[in-house]
Amino acid sequence: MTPAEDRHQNVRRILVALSAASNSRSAIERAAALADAFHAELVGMFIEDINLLHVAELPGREVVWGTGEARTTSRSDLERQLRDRADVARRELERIAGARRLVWSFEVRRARLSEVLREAHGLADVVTAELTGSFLALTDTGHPRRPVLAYYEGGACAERLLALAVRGAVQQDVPLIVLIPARSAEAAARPSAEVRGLLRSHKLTWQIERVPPGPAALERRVRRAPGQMLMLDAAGRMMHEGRLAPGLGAGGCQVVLVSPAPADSSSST
Amino acid sequence: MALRALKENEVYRRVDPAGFKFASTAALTDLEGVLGQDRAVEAFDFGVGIRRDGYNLFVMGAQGSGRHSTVRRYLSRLAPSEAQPDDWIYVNNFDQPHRPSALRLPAGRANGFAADMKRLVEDITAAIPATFETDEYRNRREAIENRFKERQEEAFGAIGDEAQKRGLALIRTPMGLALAPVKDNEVMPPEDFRKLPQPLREQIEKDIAELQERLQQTMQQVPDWDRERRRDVRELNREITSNSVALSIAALKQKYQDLPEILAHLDRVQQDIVENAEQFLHAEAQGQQAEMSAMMGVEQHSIPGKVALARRYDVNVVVGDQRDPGAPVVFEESPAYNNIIGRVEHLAEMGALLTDFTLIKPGSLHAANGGYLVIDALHLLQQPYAWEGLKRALRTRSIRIESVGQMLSMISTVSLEPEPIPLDVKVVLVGDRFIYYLLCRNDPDFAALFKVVVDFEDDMDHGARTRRDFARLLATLVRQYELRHLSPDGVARTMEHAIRLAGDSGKLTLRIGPIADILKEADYFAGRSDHDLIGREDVQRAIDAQIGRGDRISRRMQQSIIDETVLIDTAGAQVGQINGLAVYSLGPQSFGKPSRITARVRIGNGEIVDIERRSELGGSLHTKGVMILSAYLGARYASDEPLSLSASLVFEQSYGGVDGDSASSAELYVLLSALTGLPIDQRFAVTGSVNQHGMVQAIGGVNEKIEGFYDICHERGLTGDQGVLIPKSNVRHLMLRPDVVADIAAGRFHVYPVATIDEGIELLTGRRAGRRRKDGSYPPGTINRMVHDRLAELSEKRRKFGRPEISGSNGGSRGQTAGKPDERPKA
Repeated sequence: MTPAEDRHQNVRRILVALSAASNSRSAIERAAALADAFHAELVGMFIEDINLLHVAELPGREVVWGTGEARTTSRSDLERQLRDRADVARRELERIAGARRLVWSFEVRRARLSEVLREAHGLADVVTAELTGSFLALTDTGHPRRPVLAYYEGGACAERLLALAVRGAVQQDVPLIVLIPARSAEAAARPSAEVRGLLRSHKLTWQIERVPPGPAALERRVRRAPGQMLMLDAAGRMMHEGRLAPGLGAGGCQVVLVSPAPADSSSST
Repeated sequence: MALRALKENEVYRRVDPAGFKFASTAALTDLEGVLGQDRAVEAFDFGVGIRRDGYNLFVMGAQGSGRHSTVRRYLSRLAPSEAQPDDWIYVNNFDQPHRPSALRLPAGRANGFAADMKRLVEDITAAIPATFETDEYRNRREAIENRFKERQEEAFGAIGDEAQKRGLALIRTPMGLALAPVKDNEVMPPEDFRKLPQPLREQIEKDIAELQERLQQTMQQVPDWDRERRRDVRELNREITSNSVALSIAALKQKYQDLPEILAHLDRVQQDIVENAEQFLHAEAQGQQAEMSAMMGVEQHSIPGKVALARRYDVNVVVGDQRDPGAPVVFEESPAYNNIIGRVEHLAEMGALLTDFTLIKPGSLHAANGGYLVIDALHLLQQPYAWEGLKRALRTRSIRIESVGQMLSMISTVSLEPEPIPLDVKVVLVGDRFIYYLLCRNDPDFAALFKVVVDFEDDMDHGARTRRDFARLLATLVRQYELRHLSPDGVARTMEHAIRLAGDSGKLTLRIGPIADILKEADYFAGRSDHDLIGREDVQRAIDAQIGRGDRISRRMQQSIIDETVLIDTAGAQVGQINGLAVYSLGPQSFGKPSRITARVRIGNGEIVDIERRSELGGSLHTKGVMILSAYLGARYASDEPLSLSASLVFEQSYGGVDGDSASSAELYVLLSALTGLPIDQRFAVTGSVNQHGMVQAIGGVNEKIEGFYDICHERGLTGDQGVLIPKSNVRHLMLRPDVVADIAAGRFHVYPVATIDEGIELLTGRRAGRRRKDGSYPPGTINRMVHDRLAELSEKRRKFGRPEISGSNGGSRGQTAGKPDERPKA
């Protein structure tokens, strides 16, 4: 491993964003597996989504899973349910991290999920989320045989994102699909060449796929053929263009936000 | 005619070592068969030979008679030539797990089948997950899952899209879904919503209500879709696994094609595995987790899925483990209910008790099925419900494993009810006679279930042939216990001891246990004396030491007589006082002790008061003896007039109770002394019972009684004229201690055989008894005349005494005949 690769793969802190709408166990287990692989600290952040609290004060009622019963839910009910969920998530994190002997921490934050994800690069090296957020996602189960998707936007974090994506794909023994946002083949030529250069020495099955730029196009792509994880640049354009589309989590695809590598990181493998 | 004292050879039957034609028992071959038990052996052969219901055996006899060893030896010899019974296993009953199925296999095949099933489960545990890893399965499974997801996504996506068009968002809440208006890609803050114009708010509310209704309808369909998905997955799993399982199980079916029951079980196993294929996937995962937990030192409290699954198809071999060839012979040394019938054990898990068919433990009935089960009857009866359990098994000819609580219907919690196993066993109960007769009398089932009684003799006649056989028996015991061999005089002394144990000089005891003990102890003393062979001296030391170890109480009692704490005269003569003799049995030892018996007489109504009885210290046999002597007195001396004496009899200084009628002759002698005023010679002690005709009858413990009086006389110094009067019919039972025999031989002590009361009273008083003359009277000056005259005198006095008393009595009926009030029944 070259020093550059080493630096890119040096992940010290993985944050798993949890919410009432997500399956905390599945999210934590997958984040813990990543943290274990990178010998990183695992940080659980339970987000009490403000959007959800607003629902209680708006017209309409909650339709309950399983029965289809419609019922009125007060804000205090929702807050209590969120606290309960946060407790459950904390215990899950403790159990799962304990079993893997990971260094871990847990916090609860009241915010919008989109805000947290936008600030992800300042929070951890890698942020994972099951992008159900406040919005609809119908499945929580992981699909380990699906490919790893890496959204390659170039820039400072691109090399690190690719390095981590490679490592994830190799570990899972699944193909890597690098998604290059470009309006035309010509526009995609340069980033494609960069990717080929970076992946040349790695022994894994990989391919490059051009997608139209923008969240909506990415969401369509993921919905069409979900991966087991979608790796995004936490400081990239996608994160600056607005909230992440909920469809990115379609089919249980785990969204992983990769922050730029710290400049002074030491070498470790 | 004066009584003749017995000679040395009449009080001890000496066995002449010169009669043995061997230098030591080493020259003798082992005794084949059982000495002196021909009748018992014949009964035993019959009992084990007859194969009919209820022909179980009860082997009875005295302790140490060799019942156990004989049964063991015979059955061990017989069983190997008989057919080995079938093996039995318990397997899961997949339809009713609480009723495990019992399956029969030919002898020796159960363990192989158990191992085959274990391998099968291991193979399938590996094969099924592999089957689920195939691309074919994955693709088909994913297709099912996708169909379900697409159905949902389509339904909810349509609502979501419609919501989006109307400026709403479908929000996931902790418990379900909700619709909310959207502003800037986020849920509209409530304050913003309130600021909206009224018409717009109403439109939003209307849109939300419409979509909410659609959402509810869709949501209600989801469980049906999910059910459909699960059913499809199940069908897929069944299809995928059935081929794999069928392949694995085919070889087993081929191997056990001759056993239809096993084939049927394999079919059920196959069906169950296919139906529970997913369990194998979970089991694999749980197994890995358990292994990881174990590696990390995490304690695992529950049975891992893999293990639980393996148990489901396990085989519990209840009969078939490492058996000797032939029919089984089981000696149940601890015949508790569960040990006989078997039991269902439980595992404690998280505070609950769990069980399954693998925890069924067989009992001795299972182990002995098709063969023989030997149980000590006393031990069996001492165990709660064990006898009931055994009887029920024999009655129903099946072994039904259930707890005592279940048997008594005292518990109703769910437990296992293993399928009963057919029973074909010969039960041999070994016990004392009293147990046999107790069961005969009190248990109606007993006679029907134990029809063969094998009664071991306590002794055998003593003749030349039996002496030879007895010597061979000693040789056999010597070899069995690895002892020194016996010299001819050692054999002779042992045989003399056997005669003493038999209690009859014409017999030899067949209680091998005490003889073996003496041999072992004699071997010890021979070793200490550096003897190569056990000789007479060693046997004698063993006998003496055995007595010495247990004679503390007899010595204390003897000492109290020497000290005159307990009053016993061994010299002089006393009116109304005699030395009776009693035997005490304490543990394995018996010893005799003299007791002073006294009598007082006065005018009365013919009642002889047995003070022992009145004070509740006398037993019924003793009372019977007193009543007999009372009848004798009346019939012999006062047959034509009322017996007008009142007498009292007592065992002086006796505080522990008296029973038996062996003192009745002594009591009669002392009564005659009290009546006549003739003193009784205290140099004698007396034993023997008496009948209504004045004949002295045999009693038990004659040797011990003689020795008891001898010891006192010896301690005080033998005068040469002391002795014991014994019933003549007891002479054949005499086998006295060598020291007593020596003093008898030297004329320092005497034993007199007495046939009648007249003989005895003459010796005791030194006066003739007197024979009844033709006119019914006795010669003047004789004892009988004196008794007759005394009784007549008392009768006359009573007549005279009674009249004024009656006329002067308060409340008495005038004209009532004398003595009438006293004719009421005696207690």
